[in-house]
Amino acid sequence: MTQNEANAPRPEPDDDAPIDPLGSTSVLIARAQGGDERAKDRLAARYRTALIRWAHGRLPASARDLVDTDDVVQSALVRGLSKIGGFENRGDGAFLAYIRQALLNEIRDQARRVKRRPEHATIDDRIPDGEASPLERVIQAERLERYEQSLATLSPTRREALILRLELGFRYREIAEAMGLPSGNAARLLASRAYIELSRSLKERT
Amino acid sequence: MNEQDDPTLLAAAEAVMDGMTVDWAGLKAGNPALAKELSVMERMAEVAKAHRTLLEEGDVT
Repeated sequence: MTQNEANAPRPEPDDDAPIDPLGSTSVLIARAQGGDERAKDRLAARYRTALIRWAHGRLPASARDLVDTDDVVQSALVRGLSKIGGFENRGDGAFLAYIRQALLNEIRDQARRVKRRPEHATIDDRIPDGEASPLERVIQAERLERYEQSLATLSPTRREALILRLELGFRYREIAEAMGLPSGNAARLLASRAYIELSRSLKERT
Repeated sequence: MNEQDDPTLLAAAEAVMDGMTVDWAGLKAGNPALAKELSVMERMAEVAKAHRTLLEEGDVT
């Protein structure tokens, strides 16, 4: 990579598409809290597909044989959206953080349920949440733990940008729209700076 | 938070975010003062790559 190559924004298919200023997650949450069902549907649509892919990488294979990833995600989304009336809408990525944590809890519950089934009785009990997920197979558990710890040190805005890009695979324009940023390039800069800060946090921990 | 991130670090971070391959050894050799930070970014790039790989494997669209 040369510096010039890296500095040139990588074009994405819908870079030039206009960003809907009323489509930010914060605006949609406010509308949903006012009883707008279409806003709830739009929030669910925004995150559903990405969360299914995200959950797929975290559910152990044996759990995926018994539960549908779509159902796990749908369950977390429905629960999250049903409580949206009491949600404190700070516009800082708290909704995504809430849904992500709810989904992670649901995945751990599913893994534990699978582990308790008789046919899985021989699974090593030293693994508290069952077998390794696909993500844990490609990243050392210790490194993943450090990543999670460092992620928690970021400002909510930077954390949201990084999760949307890195974990959920959002395009920059989609991040801009979700976060109410002016452009895809602004989202790219925010996510990249979050990555640098994440690395600095990790450096301090090692 | 540092709004004046070093251009080399920012370029490398943008490349990771874009899913591009980064010549970490070359960057570290050309920027010895940033070698430690670049090494940590390199380790985190493996986490980024793993997330990207799993997203592609789990693509349901």
